[in-house]
Amino acid sequence: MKLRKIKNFDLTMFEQSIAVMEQMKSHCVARSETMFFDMMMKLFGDVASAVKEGRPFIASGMSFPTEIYAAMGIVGLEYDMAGSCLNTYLGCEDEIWSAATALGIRPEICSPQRAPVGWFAKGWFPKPTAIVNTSMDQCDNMSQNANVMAALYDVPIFCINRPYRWWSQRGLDSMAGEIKDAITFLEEKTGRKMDWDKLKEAARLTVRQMEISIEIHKILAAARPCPVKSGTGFLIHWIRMAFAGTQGGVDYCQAFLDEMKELVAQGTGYTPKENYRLINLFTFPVGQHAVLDWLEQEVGAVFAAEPMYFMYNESELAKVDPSKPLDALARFYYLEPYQQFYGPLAEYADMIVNDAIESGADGAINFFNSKCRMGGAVTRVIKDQLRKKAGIPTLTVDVEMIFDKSEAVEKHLKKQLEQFFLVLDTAKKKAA
Amino acid sequence: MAKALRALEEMKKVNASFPFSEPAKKWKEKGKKIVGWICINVPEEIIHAAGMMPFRITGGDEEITLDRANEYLFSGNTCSYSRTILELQLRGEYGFLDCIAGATPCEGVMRLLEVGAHYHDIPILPLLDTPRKINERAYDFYHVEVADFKKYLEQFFGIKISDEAIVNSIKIYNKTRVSLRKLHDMMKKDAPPVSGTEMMEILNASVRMPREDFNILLDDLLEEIETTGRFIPTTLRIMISGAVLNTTPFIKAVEGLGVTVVTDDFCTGSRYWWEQVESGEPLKAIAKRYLNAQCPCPRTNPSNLRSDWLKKIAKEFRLDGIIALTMRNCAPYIFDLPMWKTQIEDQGTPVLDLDIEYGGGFSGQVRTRIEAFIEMLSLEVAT
Repeated sequence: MKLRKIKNFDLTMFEQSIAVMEQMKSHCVARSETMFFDMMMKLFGDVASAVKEGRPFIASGMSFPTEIYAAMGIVGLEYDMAGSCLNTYLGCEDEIWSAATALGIRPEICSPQRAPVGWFAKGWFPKPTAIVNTSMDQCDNMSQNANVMAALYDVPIFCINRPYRWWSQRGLDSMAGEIKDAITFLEEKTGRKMDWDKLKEAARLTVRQMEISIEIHKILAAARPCPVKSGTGFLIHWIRMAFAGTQGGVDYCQAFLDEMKELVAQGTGYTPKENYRLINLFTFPVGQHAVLDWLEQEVGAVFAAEPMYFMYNESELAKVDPSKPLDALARFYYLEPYQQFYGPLAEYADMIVNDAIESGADGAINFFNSKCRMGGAVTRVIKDQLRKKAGIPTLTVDVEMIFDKSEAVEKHLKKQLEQFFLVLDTAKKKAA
Repeated sequence: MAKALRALEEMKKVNASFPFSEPAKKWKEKGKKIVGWICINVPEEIIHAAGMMPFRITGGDEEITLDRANEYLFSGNTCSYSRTILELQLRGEYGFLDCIAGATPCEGVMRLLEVGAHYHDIPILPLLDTPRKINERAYDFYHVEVADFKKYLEQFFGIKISDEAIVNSIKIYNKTRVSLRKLHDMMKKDAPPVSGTEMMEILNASVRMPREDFNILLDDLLEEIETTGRFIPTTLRIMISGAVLNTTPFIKAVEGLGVTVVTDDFCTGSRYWWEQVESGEPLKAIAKRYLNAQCPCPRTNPSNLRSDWLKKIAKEFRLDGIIALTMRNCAPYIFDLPMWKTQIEDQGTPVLDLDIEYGGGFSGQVRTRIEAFIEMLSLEVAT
């Protein structure tokens, strides 16, 4: 198949996902889960309305500073996670993969970056006014897939280049400059003007979200039993990305925190008996949530640490000045712990080791996505560092992150985990 | 049968002992330093100006087993280029290097360098932070990176690199580029003077020997071509495109099917030498040149820089077809290919999209697909 401009757009599937989310909401256990679906349904609905009514809608790659949307009054949607979740909700993987593969996007490409290409190739993703993405320095997929999507929909594109080395003034200045250029691009393409006072307010709200997340992290590391339901770390992560700089985002984080505090006060958690405290090193395979329930309810294994979702750098956050919004947004970019994963290995490894120690984890599980080159390449180093510096073993599970819902995979996962728990039991006996 | 060229035979001798080439051995015997480099964003002129020999780290002419590298770089999704380099480092085959200089062009190279630092004992200098986007900010940013790289090199070896030495090195490296362009332009002829296989031999030699010596050989080669009137009978004119490829047996096998590889799209090929360092403040000029805006890497944004370049080359070299080699797990190239494939095909140049591994041989399936492609091109030319 040749890469040709898409002429027919169909929002049916996208809108169906809202109904599926409504149905999924009814199965939620934690209050924050319910809130997550309410917010996402509203966001997806706003996107559909904007497209139908001809208002600006921007599709963006992971880690684009969405405070900008809040300050410019634009509807925006992150396409990597959205595309993946649409697949999961609607069960249309085969069609999506086929569409991406036909363009030459091979199966070895990470599912979250392949899915949106498939959605665009089908014409099922809402047509944006423009696309903005980031290089994430380094995730080759994230910096490249948007080019294909923009070509398919024939829409303008802007890429933010993020430096490799973090925290230097030069790195911050470069990021601030890139973000400023992105704002200029969006002003041109949407006809909306940046309200700089609103951007300052948005920066203040993001600071608040991060402060709450730091509090969550502290409680998560210290509380026994674990007061966070397994799998919900991914939800707060997505909320922070999609609703950065909004009161709604702050409210969600606060609700998440309040829920934890209530459980801590009650001396309870989601697992009947906490047998294993684990540090989770990557997003749990979302097609295998039954395994999460099994871990929590039957095995008594909890994720006492999920550094990529909660390990914000408190001292660096203190340096953020919302009255200088471009600088603040640049700092947020570096503060987001998920993005450490795509930066220098040394900093990423330190974050993981420190969280393992702080949380008193018995072991680490690296559900690294088998298509993630950034994660795959460092599994051995991380394993070695955790053993050497935190004294814990690591189970590396090579999984298809998003879509493999098969029972065979479930059985395989459980078997690997059971064997790992035997290792942890032996270690505990030795320690005793 | 094309006439043998003495200078070319000399270059083949350089490549014969891999990776520790004879010229590199002689260099070391004199007590001089060799700095290995990975990725064409590393400015060789700075290393050269330090009185050291820049030596490109690549795989050899054969696909090797990657058992040791696979222990440290996950084989399921790390490109075979990165794993090949790590394997050779772990085997000690690059033990003659005094240190390694690298950049961050893609996740494969970045993780290779970061992970390798934990498991082999060749020192690695701080990586050059390579922007993925070409604009004025990127040039300014890379200028500081290049200046820092000079400082790291000076600190590591306890030396001082003078401005004069850098200016002199720029002249020497630009001379190579001018000569290679001259040779490359000759490939536009109906019957080019060298084959694609020979061109790769030349380029491999260029990064495995002292540059001054290579320049002499290259001048000799150009003179021999002129005096002998050497030419390669050519019917079908092909480009091989991809991220990285330096295995001459592969190109030879392709050409053995009755085509001539008249140009390429590799960082081990045209991308390596395409651009000159322009005049001006030396480090700034080097930084600008080493972001390769004119003949960009597949990682580069905006993507039209590459598609425009490829369309231009396809016309200039009157290509009958392009063989696009996608190295498994090379995400930049995987996403880049659709961005230009359709445009080139619409321009009338067919493109064969083929998966390979770095250093991979001309196996049955690869051979069959290339044969079929060439057969199709032959029919098109005939009609």
